[in-house]
Amino acid sequence: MIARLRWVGATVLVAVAVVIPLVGLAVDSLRGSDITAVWSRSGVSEAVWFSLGQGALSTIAAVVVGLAPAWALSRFDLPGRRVALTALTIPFVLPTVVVGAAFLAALPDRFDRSVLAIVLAHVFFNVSVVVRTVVPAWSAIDEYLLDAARTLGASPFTVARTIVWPLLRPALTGAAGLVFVMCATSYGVVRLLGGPGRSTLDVEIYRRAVDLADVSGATVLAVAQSLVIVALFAVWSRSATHRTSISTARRRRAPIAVTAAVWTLVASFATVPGALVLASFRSASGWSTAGWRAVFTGGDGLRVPVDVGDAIVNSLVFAVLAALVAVPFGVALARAAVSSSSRLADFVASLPLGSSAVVVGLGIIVTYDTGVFDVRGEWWLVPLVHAAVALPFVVRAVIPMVEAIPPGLAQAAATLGASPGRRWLDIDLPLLRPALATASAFSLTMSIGEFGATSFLTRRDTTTLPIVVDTLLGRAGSLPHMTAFAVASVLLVLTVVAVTTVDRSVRA
Amino acid sequence: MSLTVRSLAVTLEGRRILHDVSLHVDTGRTLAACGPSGSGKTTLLRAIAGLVAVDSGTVAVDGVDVTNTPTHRRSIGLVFQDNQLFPHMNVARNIGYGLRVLGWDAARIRARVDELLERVQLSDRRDQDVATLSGGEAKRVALARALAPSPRVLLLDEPFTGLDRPLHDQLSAMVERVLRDTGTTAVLVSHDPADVEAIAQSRIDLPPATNAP
Repeated sequence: MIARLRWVGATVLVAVAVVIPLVGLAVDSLRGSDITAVWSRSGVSEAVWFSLGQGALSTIAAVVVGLAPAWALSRFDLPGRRVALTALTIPFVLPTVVVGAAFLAALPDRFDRSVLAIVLAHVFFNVSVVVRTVVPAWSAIDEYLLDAARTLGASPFTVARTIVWPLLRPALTGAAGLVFVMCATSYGVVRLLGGPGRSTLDVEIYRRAVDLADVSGATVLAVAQSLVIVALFAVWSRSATHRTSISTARRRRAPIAVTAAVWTLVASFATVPGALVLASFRSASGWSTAGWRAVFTGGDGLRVPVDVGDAIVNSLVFAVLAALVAVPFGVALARAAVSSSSRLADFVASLPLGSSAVVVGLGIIVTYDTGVFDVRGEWWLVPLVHAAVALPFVVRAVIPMVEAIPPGLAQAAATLGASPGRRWLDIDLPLLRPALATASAFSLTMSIGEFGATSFLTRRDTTTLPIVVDTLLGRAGSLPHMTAFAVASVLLVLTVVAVTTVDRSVRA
Repeated sequence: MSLTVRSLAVTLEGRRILHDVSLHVDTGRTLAACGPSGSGKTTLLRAIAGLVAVDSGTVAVDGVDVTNTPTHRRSIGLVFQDNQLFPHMNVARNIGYGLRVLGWDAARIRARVDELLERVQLSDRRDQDVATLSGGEAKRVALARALAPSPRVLLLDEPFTGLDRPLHDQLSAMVERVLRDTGTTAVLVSHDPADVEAIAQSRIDLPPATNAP
């Protein structure tokens, strides 16, 4: 009963924060504007082709770079295997503006605002998706199965083609599809690293709505964008409905070369945040702590209408509030999706995934603009939208953990006299603890780093850290940039702390 | 404590699993429910325990109809085929669970759990993690857990499958002795004639599955 109520709550949340704004956008686009006229405006078709082309390029690069460590970490036992696995999967939860800022800091100036920078940042992000998806699938392929094929006369190539590839394909195509959607709809990275002629649709929507005050044009693009994503996700979720069992692989000791290669990759990954932190201390004239002083004192030289201290408080408060909504709702949805094999619960949870955060942000300011429903400037809108954006990730992370709880346990407790409330307290809650912790980690990090929807919703007094980073990087001069890198470093630390403490609290 | 089932019918996912099943077990006796796979033996136990809804028919304990009583108020214990031990509790806490639900104080629970551990010969496993138990040990913990709150009726779902022969015989003898010593009214589901012979005083045979709607 409690779960049922929360499931209704999650549905209301998704409806208010996602569905109604999208419908509002669609209605608005049909009413006001000429679709063909929007298409012919400068920058629009370029944005479409850039989204798809850059997305394809990034996907190929991420899969190629990600497969090597995925193979090594699946088949071999190497020193520090767990650390390497964690290091390669952490980038996925980093805020997009942190990664964007880090690549600005890491790359020589002549590569700033280039396609190369964008693709590299996307690879950094999405290798983790490939590793996360492929390692469990590859580990689940028993070495003895391959031995069986060998005893039947299969050459190494035949084994790879007839055994490994078919077993790996669902995971790999699933990962590639997800990476493509993420890259094609990339926003934060492209806002920071792109430039004229290098906008994805999401960036173009923001540019039209905010910079060019062409809201009707942005609206048409947003609707088109949503249709494309929904189509991509329909294809993706069909290819990705596989389940992989928990790894029972027999791993061989890794040759030195494999160990060295994996650790070289990990080290090169570590240089990215390293460069960010270094850059926060590097002024035009040498080393300086001016950027960090500006973070904590406001910095008179910044000339930006934001208070970094307030933004830190806002980000933390919003993250906690969003988690308080997204975690119970997400776990309730996951339980509904698992226990009643309810398609509806699954659908509700996926809806925010099938819509870009930028489109949601635009939808909210376009839709909630009349009478008592004019809530565009309300502070609580930000954590509410963060919760809706985090919800599908929470649900997806939690579903395998909920599935692992045998439904018979609660029934066994019932035969021993435990009431429904008692069963929830004694059986469900303790067994859900790891799931709740994972859900909290996802929700906290997604809220702290959320940039797409937030860039439409924040006002002067509700500004968050990602917005501050973007604002400061848009200013000329060495001090604002140092401060931006310092703020991005704070974001980086907050995210890593959120992930690792929650992770540790589960093991304790 | 007698158990009476009258004209029970159960449909699961559109398939009629049980059709017009009636049985009666006298106080302190054990009835064996036999039948081929798919004949609904497990479903019969789950219906008696209140874990599945019945289409029609009644379940009564000592003449009192419990058909609409929720599982946790029936005081009907069930030893699940796959045990369903709580993974986050050790052996003693699993066995004591039903007593904590009843609100017994710690000293009484401890005494009762020790008594049951002795009865199923697991006194040395008291604080062990249930994940580390062997198949036979886990089954004995499940039996002790179901017996602990002294249920009015005990249901046993294929309690000896998956155990090797010596263990099987040893456990079968233990169950027979425990049921007799405690005077428990029980229903045993089994497909092994030897078990039925050794433990039960009466039996019913469920007909094979039909395709009738």
